Amino acid sequence: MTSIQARLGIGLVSTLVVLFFLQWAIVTYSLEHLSEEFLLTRLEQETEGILAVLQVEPDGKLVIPKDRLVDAYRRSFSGHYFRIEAGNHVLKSRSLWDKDLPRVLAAPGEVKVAYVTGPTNQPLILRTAGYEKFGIRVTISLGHDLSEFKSDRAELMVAYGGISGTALLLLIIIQMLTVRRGLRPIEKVRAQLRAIEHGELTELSENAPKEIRPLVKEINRLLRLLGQRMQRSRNSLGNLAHALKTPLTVLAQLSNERSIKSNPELARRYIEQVEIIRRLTERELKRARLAGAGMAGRRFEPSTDIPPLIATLESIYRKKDLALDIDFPENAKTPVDREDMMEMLGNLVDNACKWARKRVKLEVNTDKDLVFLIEDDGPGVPPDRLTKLAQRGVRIDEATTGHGLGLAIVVDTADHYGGDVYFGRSARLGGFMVRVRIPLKRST
Amino acid sequence: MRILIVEDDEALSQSLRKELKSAGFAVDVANNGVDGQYMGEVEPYDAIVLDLGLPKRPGLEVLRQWRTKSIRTPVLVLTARDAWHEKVEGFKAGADDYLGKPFHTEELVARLNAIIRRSAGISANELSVGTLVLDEDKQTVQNKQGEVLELTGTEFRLLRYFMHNPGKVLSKGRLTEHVYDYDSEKDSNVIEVYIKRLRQKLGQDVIETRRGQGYVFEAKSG
Repeated sequence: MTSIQARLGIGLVSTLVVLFFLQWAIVTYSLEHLSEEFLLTRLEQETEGILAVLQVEPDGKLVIPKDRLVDAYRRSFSGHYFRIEAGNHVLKSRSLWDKDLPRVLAAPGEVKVAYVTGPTNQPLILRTAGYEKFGIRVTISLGHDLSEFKSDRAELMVAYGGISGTALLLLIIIQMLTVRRGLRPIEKVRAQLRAIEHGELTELSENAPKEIRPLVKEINRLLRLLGQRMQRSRNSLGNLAHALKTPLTVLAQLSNERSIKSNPELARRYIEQVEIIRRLTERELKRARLAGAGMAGRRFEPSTDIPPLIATLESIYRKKDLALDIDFPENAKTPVDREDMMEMLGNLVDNACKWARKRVKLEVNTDKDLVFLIEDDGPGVPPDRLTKLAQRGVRIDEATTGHGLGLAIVVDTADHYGGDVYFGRSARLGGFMVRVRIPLKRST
Repeated sequence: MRILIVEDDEALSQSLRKELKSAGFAVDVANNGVDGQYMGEVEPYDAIVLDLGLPKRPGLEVLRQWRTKSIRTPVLVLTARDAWHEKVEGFKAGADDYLGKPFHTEELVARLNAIIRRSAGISANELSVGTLVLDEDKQTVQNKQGEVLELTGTEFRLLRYFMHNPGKVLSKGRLTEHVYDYDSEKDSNVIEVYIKRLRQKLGQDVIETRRGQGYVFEAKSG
């Protein structure tokens, strides 16, 4: 079981149910016991009343004067019965009519209680007590109908059960709410983690209950560490680039020296090799700088990051007087690294501006995946070269001039994010078209 | 045209100085951010080539400080850090152009000429005033008759500065500042000699003398 809420819920609910069931059982048992005690006390009193008015005639016949008897004993099948036995004589209440109570005998001073079926098949409690009166042994059995009593008790039990059930239900609901409330900070942390993944937050709020605060702090520490590590590694790559490229520039400058220029073949080979080193350095450094999916860095937000990039490209291509048509979603946030996306977009739009005659179009979409669509009205790429561009593993930078290194970096970046790049001809502008798709993991 | 190069790599700055001098620029070099910033503030450069990875003060910081102090000298950022987000930062800080290392000198010169022309408000690709057309690559000038005239290094720098500022009164001191680098012997009388030579080549009325003020390059002439 993985949900704390379910675990706590099941634990609490089962405890409550057991508790309520036990309580119900005890109450039921006590109620039954008490009411029986009460009934038996009444029967005892009545038995003694009957004993007091019982007369034995000389022939041993048992007589109770009519006016000394409760009505209920005379009304047939009233639910109140007696049976008195002394010697060979038996006296039954009139209410028994032609039926009889089971014959139970008791020695003087002895009391027996039995549950029997009465004359009209109703349940009876039968109390039998033995006495000695006028020197003879008398056994008096008093029967009392239990059906009404039982149905009263059942009603009571139903009412009681109903109240108990409602109380149980209420308690369960309160507990569920308490559990949910108690777990709300965890839910909040989970929502914040999702926001971090989507680049809306950079760290968790440390205003959390003390049980989870160490966890929150640890996550924040790791996030910071990851960010710092990446920044450090990017900085050192920047330094490395600087350290490598400056001497490379000096090498390139040397090709202008008279002694090299005077030998065109040497100059050509020299320039060619310097160019190869430049391309390799560039590509490998850019590849190494990629943050890739799931890394902590500043997140890419089209509406904040694209305008300055476009402004930069406009100043670079000021002389060309291009019409840049840019479309991106306002206020969209993406969980991908800003520098990676800037590099990719910069290369794509730069490439388009380089080849465009007048128009460049950029569309950014973040609805499902992050999609960049870049089109220009330049010469485009011939179909046979398009297939080459689409082939995986082809070193684009080696295979082409112009649409070179930039596109190779775009493909590397898209690969890094598990996305894909499609090259084609723009239907709208007639030139080159690149479509990049970066999947946005909307994980929960 | 006088250029400042702020670059800490000695080998690169020396080779750049040589290349840019032969391309017709007066060149000064600073090898760290603090000196570079100071020189950019006190000397009237026509353009600055600024490396970003500088000792003492980072290039971007230097650039920002210049721009807050309203120094509008066009700046070409020259750097090995040429990721797009860094380029964006550079342009935001006030760069006019960006060139990633390594680069070809021809490209650097072309871009420098472009930003200098742009800051002078000249949008055309070639520099022409009146009937005179200056070829910045060949360092020659074409007159009304279509004759191509050779120019010496100093003549070229002087004429180019005049052609960037036609119709303006330019003092001898100002001309000196823009034609010679910091380390050169500066004798303002020498300027008179070069002005005389330009007049001989292009015609007497091309450069008018204003007594006590300086010289005016006349656009209409030729």
